Amino acid sequence: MRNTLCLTAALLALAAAPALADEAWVTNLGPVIYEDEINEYAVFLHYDGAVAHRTFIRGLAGNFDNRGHFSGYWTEVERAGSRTPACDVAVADENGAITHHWGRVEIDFLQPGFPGEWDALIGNCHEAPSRSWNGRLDDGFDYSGFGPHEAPEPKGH
Amino acid sequence: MRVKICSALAALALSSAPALADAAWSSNLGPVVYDVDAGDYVVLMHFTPGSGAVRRTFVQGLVGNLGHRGSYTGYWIEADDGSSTTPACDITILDAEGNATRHWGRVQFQVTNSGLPSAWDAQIGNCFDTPATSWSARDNGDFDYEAFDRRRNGSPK
Repeated sequence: MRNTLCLTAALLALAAAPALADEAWVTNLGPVIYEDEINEYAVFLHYDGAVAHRTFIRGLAGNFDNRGHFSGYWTEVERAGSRTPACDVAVADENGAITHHWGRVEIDFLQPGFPGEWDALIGNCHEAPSRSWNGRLDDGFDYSGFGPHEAPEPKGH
Repeated sequence: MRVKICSALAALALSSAPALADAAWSSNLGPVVYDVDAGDYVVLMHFTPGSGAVRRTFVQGLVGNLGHRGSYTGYWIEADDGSSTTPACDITILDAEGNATRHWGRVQFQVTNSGLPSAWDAQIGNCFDTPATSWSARDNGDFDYEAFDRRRNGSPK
């Protein structure tokens, strides 16, 4: 009887809390998913071609009803031929991955609740974030098609 | 015989090259020493007023340029060992010696005179803040290296 109660409580808890990666957006930089939570950081994931970009947003983890403004940073895996600049100082992200390819992020959620849309500004290295990155909900998000992909060839010269 | 020749060569090399910690300054944040070179970074060291935490300042491109008027950028770090009272930043950086910490800030550094002894002015900030706090230093020919080392090593005064 006790086991049945525990199982029921666990199932109810699972049903009430949004599962990670249940939130996904279409953005001007391609599709983005809410991938993970590490301590107080929410982790967003998107791909620039074959390269994973992760965005770590401090204070967003576990926050599904009081969202507003947050600061954070993005990282790209250290590799040759990166399209982002190498910064003068390396960082270690919340996963412990070390890279010179990173930048700052300021993000504003447009609704306090889950799921929500957002407008963000991003920059490279220490510079103040100034480039727009906007996330909008997409009910038809294709999770099966999400992942690394071939980068489009540069157009013309 | 071979050992004696090597020893003599080593002694000559040591006597002709200025010792790194031979440069020291008085500053508005207390005494500062030129600690070591790390790649193309000069590493300066002082004790942060108030907390007494060891602060290391990494100035890029300054190696060999202390006697040349010019501007440089860099960063300061304090260890993540509980000694720092500065704010923990959103992101962990790795300094040029491979030490990870959340206690860091940016530095703008200007060598203000040509030739030695050197003098410099700097601006420092916390985390991503634009450096705005003044830090000025002038050469101190009477610097008490022994007292500084005792403090660094945690020995009684």
